[in-house]
Formats: sequence, structure tokens, C-alpha cells
Amino acid sequence: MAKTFIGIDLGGTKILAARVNQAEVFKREYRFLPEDNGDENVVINIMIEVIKTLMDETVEGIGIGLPSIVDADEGIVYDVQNIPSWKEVHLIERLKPHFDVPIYMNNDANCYALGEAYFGQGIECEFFVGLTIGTGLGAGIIYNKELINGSSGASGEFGILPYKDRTLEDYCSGQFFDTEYGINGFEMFEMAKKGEKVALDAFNIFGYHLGNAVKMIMSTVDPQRITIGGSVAQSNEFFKEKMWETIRDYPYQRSVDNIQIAFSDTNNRGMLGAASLCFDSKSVNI
Amino acid sequence: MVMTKKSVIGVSLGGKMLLVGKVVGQNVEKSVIKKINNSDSESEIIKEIISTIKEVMDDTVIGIGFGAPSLVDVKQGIVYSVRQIKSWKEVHIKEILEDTLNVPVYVNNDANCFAIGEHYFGKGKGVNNLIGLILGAGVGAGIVFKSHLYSGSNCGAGEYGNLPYKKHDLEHYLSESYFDNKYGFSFDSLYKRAKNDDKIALAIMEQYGNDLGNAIKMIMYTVDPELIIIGGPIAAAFEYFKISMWETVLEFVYPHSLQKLKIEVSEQKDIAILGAAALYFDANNKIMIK
Repeated sequence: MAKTFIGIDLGGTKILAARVNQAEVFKREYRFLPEDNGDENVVINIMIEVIKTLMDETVEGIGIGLPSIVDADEGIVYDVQNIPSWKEVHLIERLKPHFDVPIYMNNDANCYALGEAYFGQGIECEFFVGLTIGTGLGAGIIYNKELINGSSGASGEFGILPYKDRTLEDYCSGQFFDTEYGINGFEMFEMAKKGEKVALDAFNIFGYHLGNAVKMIMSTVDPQRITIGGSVAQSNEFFKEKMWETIRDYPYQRSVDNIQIAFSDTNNRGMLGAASLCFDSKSVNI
Repeated sequence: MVMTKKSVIGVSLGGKMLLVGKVVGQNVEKSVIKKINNSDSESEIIKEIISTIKEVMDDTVIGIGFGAPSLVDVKQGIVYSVRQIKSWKEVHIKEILEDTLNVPVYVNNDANCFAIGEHYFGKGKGVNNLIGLILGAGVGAGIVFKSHLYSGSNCGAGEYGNLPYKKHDLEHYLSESYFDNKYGFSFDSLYKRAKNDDKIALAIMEQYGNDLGNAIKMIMYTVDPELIIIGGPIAAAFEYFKISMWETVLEFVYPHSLQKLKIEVSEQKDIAILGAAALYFDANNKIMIK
């Protein structure tokens, strides 16, 4: 019987999950989290329940992506966004008694990048970066299909790099639109589609900052391709041109000529990437 | 059959100096230093390199590693726009040396050589994920990931000097020329003054440590290594900027990375030659039989 793996993508408001193998998605599942999600057990129990509905005898591993700081070695997750009770959850320790297969975890940006590397636009890429732009800016660095995890999972945190008077994340995520214009990224996208000048200008400036972010990624990890996902990626038609214009003055012409930038075409890569933690055989496991 | 000791030649080309050495086991057994006339033509400098290599070459040599301060096409072994050597715009050095010397040749930039050299011959032995950071005329780093050199798609990884910082970029604040431009002292004279307890020199070093600390945080946010090894001429003055560097690094937001992070200074005197030679071991990923 073919081996399968369960991927779980925990967001601040919902859990997306699926049972997959390297070629196919067999079964999907999702749950919304209760608004007041109480003590840490509430979300853990929902997660266990979701896994149980997907579980069968073909499952060889479970991978979990989390929107927070993750110590993949120890199986601990810290300070999860929108789930206040998850300050320090020893997640693997809590799940292990319920399931008889290895369990892996990592942060959502790393899972996104792995998902692209195994299922999407990072296939056949030796040096690859998956960049997620939503309420924050996160990235996963993949080298020969292997995640560069860093000593404690802080790698790929380009959003925290100092940039202008604040950090890169302030200028290159949805926060930029809220802070600078008092309009969220989704509304701004709607306005841009209607051709409203303020929105077109805002995306243009956003494209400039994102171009600078790409150059910073080129300076540090020099990928062959960057694939951009997350909610803000959907509006790429309005910032792509300025982004490229900004990249072109990078000091190494050869790198400018060679760099490929793509935008993600689906939002299930995080979940698939979480499952990929299982067959990223060299990934840290428990 | 008699087992002969195998050896690898390391070649380090600088803007003014050429270093060539034969590496046996963990040591440089025979080395030659030549001054380079950097206004010479491309072919004159190539000729000089080949004749210098021949001075240490013998039949135990199984490969050559070549490091240069330049952009490099690692796969094809081409160096582009070598710093200070105007005639070296695009030199197919791998092909040229392999045709002449009949052993495999591996080419990379100086910062990458430094990092992989420390992994095989210096403070990075046994450490899988490390950064070698060079502070000198320029600022560049080499990344070793899972015991392999991570050069990037265009050999452009680790160019932390390019990252924007304050009003310029990191290289502006962390390379030797900063001391001249900002304070009107060369690094060497400043270092001497610091050794004599000169208050101004010590204050400048302290500020340098703050800036370096910020650079290290940027390294941690991007690749989060276990070890950072600092090399290049400025590393000699480490004791004068070490404390302020750590004070800044300790502001890092991930406490678990901080607990694991080590920062050390290179003490390997022959690192330029050893680093170039280490390219051979990285490419073949094996430890030399002694």
C-alpha cells in the first residue's frame, strides 16, 4: 500500500489539513477555531480530532506548520499569533501519545517554502526561497530540496531585518497599507482593481520596498528562484513592475539576469509543505 | 604498492599578492608568496600563477583550489572583475589551469574559501553550520551548511556587505576604509592607538563593535548559524570591540539561537592557502588520507 502523510496548517483562525503523498492529495479536512479559544488544550484537542479523521493505516508521518517561533528539535512552539494560550506548547509531546507515527513541525513560512519545493514552483530548483507576504513577511530557504533550518529555526526571518526607520516587515507586508494609508491590503487591492490612483500609487511604493527585500535576499542566500505566496501575492499585477525595476540596479548584473521570481497560484502550499516535513528526510525530527 | 602522501595545492590570488601552498594533511608544507603587479596583462598574471604553482607542484598533487576576491562562476570556474586587477575581467581560470597542470581545479571567492577552510582546518572543525565573516577591504561571508559550502545560484550568497544599514550599507561601516573616511585614521594606526589605551581609539572600536553586532544579528535572522568565525585584518583587534559587539548581539529576539551561538576569531595563519585547498575537499567531500 502506498505511503501517505498528514499535513496540518495551523492558522490564527483555522486549521487546514490533508492526507497526501508526493503526487496526490487524498483527503482534506478543516476546522475553524473557536473565537475565544480558551486554554491550550482546546486547540490541541481540535488538532487531535482533525488528525484522527484523516488517519488510516497508510499514514507514515504527520507534519505541522505553525505561525510562530518553533523549536523543531525540541518540538516546542512559542507565542502563537491569535492563540493567546499558546505561550509555550510542547506540542509533539502532547500529540505523541495519540499517534503511532513520527511527528514533525516547523514554522509556516518554512512549510510554505517546502510545499513549493515539493509540489509547486520550487521543483528542480537547487537554490530556492519561498516568501510569504500576508500580515507578516516570512521566508523559507531551500537548498537541494532541503530546508535550511538554522540552529534554532530563526533562518529566513528576513522580515526582522532593519530597513529604513523600522524593519523590512513594516514595509513589505500587509502592515504597510494599514500603517501608511489606514486601509488594509484587501481593500487596497479592490481599489486598485477599480483603478483608484491612491491604491495604484500605494502598490507602486510597495513594489519598490519589495524589490529592495528581494535584493537583500539575493545578497544573503542568492537563490535561483523566489516564489511569493500569501494573501498580498494575489495583487502582484499592481506591484510587479516596480519591484522588477528596483531589482535591476543590484550590483551583480549576472544575478539580475538569472533571478526568477514567480507568484504562487494556490493557497494550499502551507498544508502540503507541512506534510513535506515528513519526506524531507533530512529534516530535524523527533 | 607504496602509499604516497597525497596533497592539494591552494592558490589565493589577491590584488597585490599571490599565495600558493601545498597542503598535506592539516598543514601547509611548502608555500610561496609573490608580489603581483596588478597592472599587468591578463596573460602575464596567468603565467605568473602557473609558474608559481609549478614551484610547489609534484606528483603527489591530486587537485588545486583557487580563491580570488571576485565574482565567480563556480561550475565553470570563471572569475569576473577581480578586485584591483584591472585586466582580469573574465578569466576561465579552471580551464586554463586544468589544461596546463592536468589535475582538477576548483574555483571560488575568497570569503567562501575562508569559511570552508575554517570548517576543514580551523575553528569550524566538526561544526556543520557556520559562517566565515571577513572584515577587511570589503565585507563578505561564506556560508557552510551541513558541512558543505553554500555558494548560492551565482556564487553571490553571503554578500552581507550589500545589506542596507543606517545611511549606507554594512560594508560602508565595517570595512577598513570606514576608519579613514569617518575618522581620518587608518585601521592600523587606530589599532596601535587602542593598544596604547588611547581613549578615542577605544571609543571608535566600541562603536565598531555595535555595528558589527548588528551585522551579526542580520546573519542570524537570515541563516541562523551555530558558529560565526571572524577573519580578515580587522579581526586582529577583536578584543577591543568584542564586548560592545556581544552587547548588541544579546538584543536578538530569539533566545534559543543566542544560547547556541558562538562567535570566534580565526587563528589559522595559513587560512588563505588552506581555504583555497579546502575547495577540493568540499567538492569531493572526503577527508584526505594521511
